[in-house]
Amino acid sequence: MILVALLAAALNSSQTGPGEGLRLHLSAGFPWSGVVLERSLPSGLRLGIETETAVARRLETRLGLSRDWTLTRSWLLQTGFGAGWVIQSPSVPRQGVQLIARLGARYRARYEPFVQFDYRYLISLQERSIQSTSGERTQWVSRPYVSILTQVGVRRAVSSSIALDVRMIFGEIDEVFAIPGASLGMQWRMR
Amino acid sequence: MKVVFGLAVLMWSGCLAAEPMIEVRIQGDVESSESGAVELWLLHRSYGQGELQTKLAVIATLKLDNPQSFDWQVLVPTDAGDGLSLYAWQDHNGDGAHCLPGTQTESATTIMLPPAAEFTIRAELELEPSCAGPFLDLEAP
Repeated sequence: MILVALLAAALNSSQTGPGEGLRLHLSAGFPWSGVVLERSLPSGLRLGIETETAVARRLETRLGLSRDWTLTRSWLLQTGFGAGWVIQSPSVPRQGVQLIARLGARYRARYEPFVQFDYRYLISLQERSIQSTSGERTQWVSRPYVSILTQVGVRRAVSSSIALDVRMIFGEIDEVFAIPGASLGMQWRMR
Repeated sequence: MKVVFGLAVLMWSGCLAAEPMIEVRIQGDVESSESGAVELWLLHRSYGQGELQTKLAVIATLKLDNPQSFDWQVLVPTDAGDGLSLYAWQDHNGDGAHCLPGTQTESATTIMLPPAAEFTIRAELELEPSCAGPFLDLEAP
């Protein structure tokens, strides 16, 4: 519900002009599924909003800027950064502001292999309600957590505006080894 | 603008409730016929829910240089764990581990504690040569 509302708001706000493009990417898999909406800016940067969920227990939403750098005719380097909010429950409750730095590369071909590294820095914020002999008080506790995720996959364009991809996802979440995941994705490019 | 607004709404709607905790003061004595550092583990007998439920989850630890009296103030989460127990093990040979293979038997014990809601808890631990880890088959005091 929230995802749909967020997506609708983003689509309404995007008034694509000449030379600008809008890209929507949907992915579904285990444990990660998500939605990415990106808009190309005249400066060559891309403004994106991303929402990801891990089996509905962890939700990450962020706003980011990214850019493609052409290395050779075939190789493309991608860099990006962003900030957002993470919420996770139950059993291991977690919430806070997350900063992200992204580095990726892809090889332009009919079947386009790609790799993406994410460094995600979560500033976890937790409110405590403490009962003691002197009464009840609240306290905010902050703790940093680092997540490093690698995605490796291949993308195949099936038309001028639609591409499909498959990817493997592995790494650490909040400094703990995460079970490797996989997802299928569809990208829709509008001009 | 609407994107930023949507993101802000999502952030604000996604906040966790405050984690309820009780500030507990555990006072007691550790006795042992041997010398060596002692490590205390305060444990929930059961922690988590459903498939993620686990037994004997560590809440906090305390290190003592030798068997001695202690006065320990600790925050105990009350929303996801049940029952308290206190495990102690002694490092006779100073290797930083309890009963490594090929080393001598070191001391340990587990005691049950009353509920955290009592705020102040008295704990008497008598360490005996044993390589046991924390265990559950004890009745609450």
